Amino acid sequence: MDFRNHPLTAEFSFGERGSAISEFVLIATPLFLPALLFFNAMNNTAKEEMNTSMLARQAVRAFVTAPDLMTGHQRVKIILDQYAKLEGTRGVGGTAGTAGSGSLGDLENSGSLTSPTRYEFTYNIKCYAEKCLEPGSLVELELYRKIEPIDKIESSKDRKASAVARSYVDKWRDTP
Amino acid sequence: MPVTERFFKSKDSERGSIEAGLTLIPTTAFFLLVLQIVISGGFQIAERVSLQNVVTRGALGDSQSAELFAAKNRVVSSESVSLPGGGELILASSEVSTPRVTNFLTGDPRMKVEAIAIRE
Repeated sequence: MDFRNHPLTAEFSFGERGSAISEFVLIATPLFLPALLFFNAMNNTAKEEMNTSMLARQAVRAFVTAPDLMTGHQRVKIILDQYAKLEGTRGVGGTAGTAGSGSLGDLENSGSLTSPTRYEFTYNIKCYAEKCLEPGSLVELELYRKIEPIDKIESSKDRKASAVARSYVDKWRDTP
Repeated sequence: MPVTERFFKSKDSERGSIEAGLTLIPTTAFFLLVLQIVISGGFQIAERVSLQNVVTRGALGDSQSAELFAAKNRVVSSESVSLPGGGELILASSEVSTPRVTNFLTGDPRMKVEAIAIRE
């Protein structure tokens, strides 16, 4: 069917003359810019996931080597704060982690470094023993960190990088 | 007349070809920009893994040997913070130059990475 002779489309011009530059700007650029933003966001997310994983490993190690629970939470908080400072950002402030007392199995102690910046950390510590730092017990730390969305483009504001690290308390340590 | 024959015999067959070729300029610029991002991201990941490896080994075995992967213009700094209950936290940061694939970038692209480790 030839649309050129069709009565409904006869009024439109079917000439192929046009500006390649304007076509590129109108068609290709809207495709390229989201791709560029996507690559950038993907790189940012991968970086945050790696950082969070590394921080979780070090934080759980600091916790299981602490003499008591209160000191353990302090050590975790110091690690997160110092890392945020190292990145040149403000990570200190807000509420400190709530140090748990003697915990029953699977009791979770949580803490958060609430900060208006994106470097907000939240962690949960799960103990698999009646006493959290009893020699030989397993401790699990879940660490979350907010990922900065691209302003005015990315709609999701609640994306978080997460990591889980587990470690055993030294069997030959003194019982707290 | 077949379409292909009409295409090759058309006197206007080469009209706009130069202008269409000009679109290669922004396309190439975009390609180089993405390539630069990918290469810089790769360098950053390699540097991060390498720095974390060195810092962790240093914290565990008190090793002073640096085995960072080969890169130019690296600036490494480290400090330690004592922790309550004993031990110290080692903080290290490194800034490294990444290859510049295009002259669209005027400056020297540099990536900064950080690493931490617990020394008991």
